[in-house]
Amino acid sequence: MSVDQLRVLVVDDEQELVDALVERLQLRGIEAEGVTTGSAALARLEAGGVDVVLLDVKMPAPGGLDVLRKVSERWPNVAAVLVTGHGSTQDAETGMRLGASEYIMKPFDIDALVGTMLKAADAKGAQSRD
Amino acid sequence: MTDTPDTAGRDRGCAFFGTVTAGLSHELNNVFATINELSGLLGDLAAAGQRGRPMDPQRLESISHRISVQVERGQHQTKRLNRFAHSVDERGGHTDLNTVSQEALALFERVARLRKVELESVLPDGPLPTPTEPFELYQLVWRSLEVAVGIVGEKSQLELQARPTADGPELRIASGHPVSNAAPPTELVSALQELVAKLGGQLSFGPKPGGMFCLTVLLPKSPTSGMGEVGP
Amino acid sequence: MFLIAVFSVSVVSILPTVAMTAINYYQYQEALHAESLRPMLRVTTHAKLSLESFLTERLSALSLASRMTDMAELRDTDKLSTILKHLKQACGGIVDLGVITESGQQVAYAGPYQLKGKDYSKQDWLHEVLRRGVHVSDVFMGHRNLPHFVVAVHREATDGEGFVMRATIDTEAIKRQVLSAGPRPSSDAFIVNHQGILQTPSRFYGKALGKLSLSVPPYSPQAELLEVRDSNGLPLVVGYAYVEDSPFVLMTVHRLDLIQESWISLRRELIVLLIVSIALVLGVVVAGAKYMVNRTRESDQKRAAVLHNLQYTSKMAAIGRLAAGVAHEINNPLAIINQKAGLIKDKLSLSPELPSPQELIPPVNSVLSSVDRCKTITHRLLGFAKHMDVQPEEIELPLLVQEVLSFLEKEASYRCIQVDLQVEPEFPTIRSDRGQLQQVFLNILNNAMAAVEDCGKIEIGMVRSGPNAVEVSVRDDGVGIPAENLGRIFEPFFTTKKSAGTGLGLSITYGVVQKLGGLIRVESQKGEGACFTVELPLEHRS
Repeated sequence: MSVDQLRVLVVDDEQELVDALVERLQLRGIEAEGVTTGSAALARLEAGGVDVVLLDVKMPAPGGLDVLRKVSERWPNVAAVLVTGHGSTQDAETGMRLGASEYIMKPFDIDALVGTMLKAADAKGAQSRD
Repeated sequence: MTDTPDTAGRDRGCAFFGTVTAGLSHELNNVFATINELSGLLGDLAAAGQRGRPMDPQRLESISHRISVQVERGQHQTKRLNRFAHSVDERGGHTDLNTVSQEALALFERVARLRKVELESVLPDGPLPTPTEPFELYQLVWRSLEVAVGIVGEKSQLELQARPTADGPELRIASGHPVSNAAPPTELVSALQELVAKLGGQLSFGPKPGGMFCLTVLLPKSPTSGMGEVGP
Repeated sequence: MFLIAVFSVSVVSILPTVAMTAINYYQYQEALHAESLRPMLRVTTHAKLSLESFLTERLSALSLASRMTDMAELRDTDKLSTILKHLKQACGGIVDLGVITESGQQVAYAGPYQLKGKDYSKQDWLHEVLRRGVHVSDVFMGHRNLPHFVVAVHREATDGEGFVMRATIDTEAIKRQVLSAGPRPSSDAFIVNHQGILQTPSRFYGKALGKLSLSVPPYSPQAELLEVRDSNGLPLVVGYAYVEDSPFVLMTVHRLDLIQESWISLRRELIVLLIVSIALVLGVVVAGAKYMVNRTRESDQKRAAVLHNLQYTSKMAAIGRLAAGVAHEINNPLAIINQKAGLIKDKLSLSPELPSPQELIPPVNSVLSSVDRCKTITHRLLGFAKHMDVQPEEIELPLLVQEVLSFLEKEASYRCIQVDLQVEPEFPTIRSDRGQLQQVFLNILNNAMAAVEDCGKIEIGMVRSGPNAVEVSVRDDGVGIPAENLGRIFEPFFTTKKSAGTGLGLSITYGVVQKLGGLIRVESQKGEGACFTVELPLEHRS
């Protein structure tokens, strides 16, 4: 998949962060939207048209892992990238087990993020083709 | 030095310190992530400007301003972290429940947000000295909040009040609405009970007439304080 | 250790007491002995002198009488009777008086017997008296079947004939003398002759003229004391004195056991005292040792508590300082960000023209790099804040242990130690704290490495243990742990390593395992290696 084909949903409880990130992704030609709660994310995913969802793990319920579980169940073609605040492998491993494609730590480098999202989307794309 | 080490109490103290510090680090990290994106955005816009795309000065200014806001937020958190970290070293023999309640509330704020609990406070003007060490009082207020949140559950409102009484300073945490008879989290409750006992205070909690939940901790009076007015 | 201490202190304290008691014992014995015996000797001597003077008196009287007259006068029986009468008045005990020629003819006699005309020429006593001038005879059964003895003096011829004057003495007199030497019921006093024939009656040993059952003691010019045993084995103290110029031996016999009653009771008291003081010493030593051991144990516990306290407060202080340090560190980059953001704002708002993009990019980059710095700092803070508490994660124990083993890989291969890991099939993952488990297994495996010899073997086994737990065992074929240390091996400060090691490693490990909701135990025999087993719950509940 190429960058301009990517449709991304950014989910993080920091409004400022979401806004800035969404704008930055758009400046790179990526279709990006942002929400600040897990519930809003689920509602948006329900509407469809998302390739990659970027999930912050530490949010009020439903948190990143709860949304991830739902994504694995209901929208298996959507690639989930977990965003963690620290280097512990705990959340990452749990996330992987729950179906996350990738994980990344914040603050992140935007280009690294885009690369990770592409990788996740491609993997899902390959999966869905099988 | 006590003869028998209060290892459970110590472990809890360590755990408490770790929890609060971790929470503060997360907050700080979020601040930096936000600044990262905001300044990244500025950089992106500047780069676009270099490529010929017109730059909107108001936009840019707004983003810079937002960066400053985050910086201020970061500085607040850092100060809070500093104060909390130093509280371990302080040994004054007396601590002011008023200032500690404020600090502990601010430290707890993130937990409250994640649990979707609204916190408010009613604090007096003057100090409420009690003969404890600062770190222990921090722990007391924090654990009282933990227990209260554990009982009232998500999407609740809690009010924290600190006031002087004839017998000493009182900390009271009450829900603004009736609470179902939720089973109190036993581990948290026993940790709080032990801490209150260690500080020579009295703990009581439970539903009040009308179903509101209320938790009170009565702390010993500091002998040197002029306790002035007796609370309402 | 305890026993050796108690034993040595007891011996050291009791030995002087025993020595003192023994010395006292003998000294007392000697003193008592001497004290009770000295009077005996004195009495015997006294009696001897008294007897000797008695005899001398009679002999002198006789001698005087013999010189005051001559043979011609003495042949007159009436004259003789008169002399006898005077002698009787002068000295008691004289029964008769006889005059005997040098050829042994009794030519005159006054007294109750009919001895006139008797011939003594063949008798030893006559020869003796002629030779020596005096004679004292043995006691014999005489007049009225009462014991008597004879004293005789020789009056040499000056003008006229020489003759022998002879007097019979009643033993009553000497009996009285003798009795003064032994008034007590526990003693006896009597006279024997050199052949052991009793001359006076004895309380214990028979009538006069019987044979004494004791042997006659040897001659000595002064009074002596002998300790003998009689025919029944009774200990006796015999005082005796040879009465000079007579066939008599004065003997006093004292029952040693009766004399020594006071000594015996004293000795009994001494022994009781000794036993009591030994018991006291032992009691005090044991109590003291127990107290010391308890105090040592208490102070060890206190030390452990203090160390715990110290560790805690220093840990807390260190942590506090670290967190504060982080807070300080973050201030700098934050300030930079602030400044740069402010700069951008200024450029946008203050200058009349729009700034060029080039002008904006450097401050932005500065902000970004500051953010990067802060990220490192907060991550570090976060990393160590997590270690303040048990942070549960899903952990694959075999992987974790292999990770730990990789730290020890170099040493293992260098010393050709074989490490074997056996994992039960379908061994579950557990929820626990990674960092602390690493600490636990690192400690145990380090100990195992230290215990085995080169080319030894370490076996690690992982099995399920019931539905809710797993067990990891680490077995080595090293030196093993002696039975007496097994119970103490998890105590703080307990160590058998001579130089290195504070003895805290295993005690901390024990605490950590407990905190993780598990148990650790050890099995070992000296010389046969050791096996440490850690049981861990599948799900840690903090």
